[in-house]
Amino acid sequence: MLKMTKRRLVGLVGMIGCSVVIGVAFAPNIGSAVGLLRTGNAPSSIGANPTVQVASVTASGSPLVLWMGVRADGARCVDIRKGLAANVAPSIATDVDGGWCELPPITRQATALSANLYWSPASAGGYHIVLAGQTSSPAITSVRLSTPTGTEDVPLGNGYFLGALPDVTSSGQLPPGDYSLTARDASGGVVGSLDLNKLVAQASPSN
Amino acid sequence: MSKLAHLALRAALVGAGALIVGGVMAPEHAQSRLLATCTPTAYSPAVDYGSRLGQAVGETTCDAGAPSWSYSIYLRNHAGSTLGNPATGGPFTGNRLLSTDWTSCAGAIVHTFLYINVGGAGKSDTSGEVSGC
Repeated sequence: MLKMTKRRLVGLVGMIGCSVVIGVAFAPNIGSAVGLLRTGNAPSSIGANPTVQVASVTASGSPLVLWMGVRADGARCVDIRKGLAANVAPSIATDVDGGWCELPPITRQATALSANLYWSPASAGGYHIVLAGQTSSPAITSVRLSTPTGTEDVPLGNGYFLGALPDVTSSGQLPPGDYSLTARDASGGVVGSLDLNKLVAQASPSN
Repeated sequence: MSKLAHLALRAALVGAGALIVGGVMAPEHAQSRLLATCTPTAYSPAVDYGSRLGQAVGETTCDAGAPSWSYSIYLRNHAGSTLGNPATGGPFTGNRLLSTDWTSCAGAIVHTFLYINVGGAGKSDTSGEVSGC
């Protein structure tokens, strides 16, 4: 009798084990949900792959260079490097001061303009703000930055643009006033725009 | 009970168990397919132990047809204070790797915090911690 009970118990445990294995197989999200698949560092950088300089600008007296490259895994990456002359190629990972990678399958952006903002400490106190982004179409031939003090075209190359905003006292914030980008085609027609104040507000966890 | 009937009963029980466990775990996945969305994943920060610099790194992956998204990414210490400088951006479609710039993290235990706003809904993820920076 006792022997039979043990056999049934073993069978029951086996069935539960099979059920869990099959259940997890049908619920792929569970792996990432509990962090089992995290592997640590996955820097969003071009690394040692060939790069193309797509735009450069001088911000707060320092050269700022935007590099684009395609990695072996098909990711299209952009690195921002500060303090390097425009013709100096990237060397080590820590030369990179921000950037992103589009991962395959790379899709055309739904909006005419998308942008990233990076805050970095200024030697005189406060923070510099670097603006880097991309356009959705080669038909966009200029990107104009509007600030409370005026407008200017930012450097644009291969669909990527680079610029700087006035310094601020706190990181994660824009200077007072309205900031926006406008994309134009070769005939000067407005193709799209991006409200940077709205972008920062939407992307804030406190929103 | 014959051996065949016993085997059939056991197979039925395994199948029922799988459906129950799968049903409990799968609704979120099924819903995400119906309502295409994006998911943030915060990776453990990249750390350069020689120069004692750290970089927050994260990834956003989207279902086909998901709405545009925007993000903020932070390198934070064990207490939750932001080290260095955040990065913010958007609106994007598709999958992206994201990072902050490199910043000093000497002596700190650090993690990545990634927040995204996808179609008006906020989502976030926090990575595991890295010590010894």
